[in-house]
Amino acid sequence: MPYRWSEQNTAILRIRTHLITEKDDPVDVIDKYTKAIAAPGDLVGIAESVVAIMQGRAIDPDAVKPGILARLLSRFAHPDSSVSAVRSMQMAIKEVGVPKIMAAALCALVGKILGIKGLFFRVAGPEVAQIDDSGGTMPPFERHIILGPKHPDRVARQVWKRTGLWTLILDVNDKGAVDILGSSLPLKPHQSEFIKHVLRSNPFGNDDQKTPLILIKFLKPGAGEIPGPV
Amino acid sequence: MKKAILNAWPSVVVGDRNQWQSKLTLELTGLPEEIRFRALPDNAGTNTGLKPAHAAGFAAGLSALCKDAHRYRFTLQGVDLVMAEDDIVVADGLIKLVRVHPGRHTGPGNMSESLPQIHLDIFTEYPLPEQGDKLAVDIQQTPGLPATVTFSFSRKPLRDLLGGVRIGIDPGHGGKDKGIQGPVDLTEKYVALEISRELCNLLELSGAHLVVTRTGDLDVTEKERLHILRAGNPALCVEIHVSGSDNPLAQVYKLAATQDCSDSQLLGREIALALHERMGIRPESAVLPPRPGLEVPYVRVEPLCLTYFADEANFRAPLFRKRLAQSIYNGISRYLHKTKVRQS
Ligand SMILES: [Zn+2]
Repeated sequence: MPYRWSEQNTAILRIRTHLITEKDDPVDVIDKYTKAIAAPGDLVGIAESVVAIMQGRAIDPDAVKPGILARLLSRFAHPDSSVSAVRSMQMAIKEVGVPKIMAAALCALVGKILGIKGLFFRVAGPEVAQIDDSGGTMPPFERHIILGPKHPDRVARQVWKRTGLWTLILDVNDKGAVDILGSSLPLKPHQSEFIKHVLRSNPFGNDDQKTPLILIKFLKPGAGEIPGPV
Repeated sequence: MKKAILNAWPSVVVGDRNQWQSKLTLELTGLPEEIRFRALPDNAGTNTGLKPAHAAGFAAGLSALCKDAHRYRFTLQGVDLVMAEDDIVVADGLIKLVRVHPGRHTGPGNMSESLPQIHLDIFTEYPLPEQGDKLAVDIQQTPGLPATVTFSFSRKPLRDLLGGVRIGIDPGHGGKDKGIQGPVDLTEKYVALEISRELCNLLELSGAHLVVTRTGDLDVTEKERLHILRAGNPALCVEIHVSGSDNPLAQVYKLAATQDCSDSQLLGREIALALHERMGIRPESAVLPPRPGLEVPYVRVEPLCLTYFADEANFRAPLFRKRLAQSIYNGISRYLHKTKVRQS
């Protein structure tokens, strides 16, 4: 592995933005907040929830009418999972369709008998796994259902085209788990491992939606310059 | 890379020797040339400068935060602002709000020699303590990437206010009595206990003496509760419950205070205001029957609408629980401050 992708050579900078809403655009936001401090070769990461918010995918629960299937299935979901809320389950059905949700529910049932966890989300797919039933703890999104971002790779590439920065769409939770949902070019396994490792301390902070941007800076330029997306 | 502030975040820290401090940490790409300080007149910066993106109700809470605040300004010379110009709601009982905004360039003559400067306006509940003729603020600067500047403020004003005060806390329900149930699985007895625990932590740190009716999932009758509270001889009592509604999309919050008791009403108003500032919640006021033999300011708070799914989901986050408790704490301490001022 080239030495620049090492922890000692890395600085993580968190950037506090204005409160991002559906009136904002991911490319503009990242450009605005990084142009004064980013250098070619830096990586920029943005929280998936704010990308979803900018895409208008924060859903007002008043507008969701839960059906019988959502009511039934949400009862079997783990209480801590977002789809345990009826309205979030309804949105999950809307996102991926009834057949897929039914298949996921069946697999979850089999999983329960065999003692395998997490089958519902594995079968239902990332669109469902990324639904948050609480938009965070700050107005104005605290009562919304936040869906996962649409076309995360495409968004990341658009940012790269304008800023030249390798862009990642990230889901970092307060327990330290990191998920890379989108990247402006395909990540090699050791690269995603590295990113997950350096972000494990949840650099977005979980207190509100106002530090959704991070810049991973490589302190010494050198070997292993990152090529642009093809 | 130019020197700039990237991030600002508040925290409350208990250090060794039981030092208790509010901190504001700035993350920067380089340390400032100089940090200046001055107190601001009490009416400075009353406009909150809020963007329309904030929910209207929340913005109203923010301007309330700025009212009656003590204002201090730190000016950082030689740094720019990369983070958004912002009003950061702190509401930790001591610091109400921090406003980060650019000042005018200063320096001799032409612009090329002038230095950018950033103001950090700190709005506090109480005047910050002084040591001799200096403000007791500890400023620590650490180089690196990110570089940090940490401002530490002693929370002694809160200990002065709450130290030795006996406070009654009554978490509702418990044991066989589950209270209201959330759409997924949370129960009122659990939620009330968790909020109480957080609140008790804060009050204990402030040196208050607690009189608590239950500390676990126990059956406690109304009679027993009253007995515990009476025996503890508290200066004020707060009962903790949650609200609920038949309409799954309704969000009701309530604050009940003993009628015909101006101190109960004042305590209720202060807690309601604090919940509004910190959480954007606007509790309806309700009436509480007087408790026989307990002639002290008495309120009942319902700071969560458990039948509403997003409230239930939010409550699973420890930070949300802390914020709820912090709001109630802020209301109690402000009430004590007001009655203290009135007495002296
Ligand atoms: Zn109750």
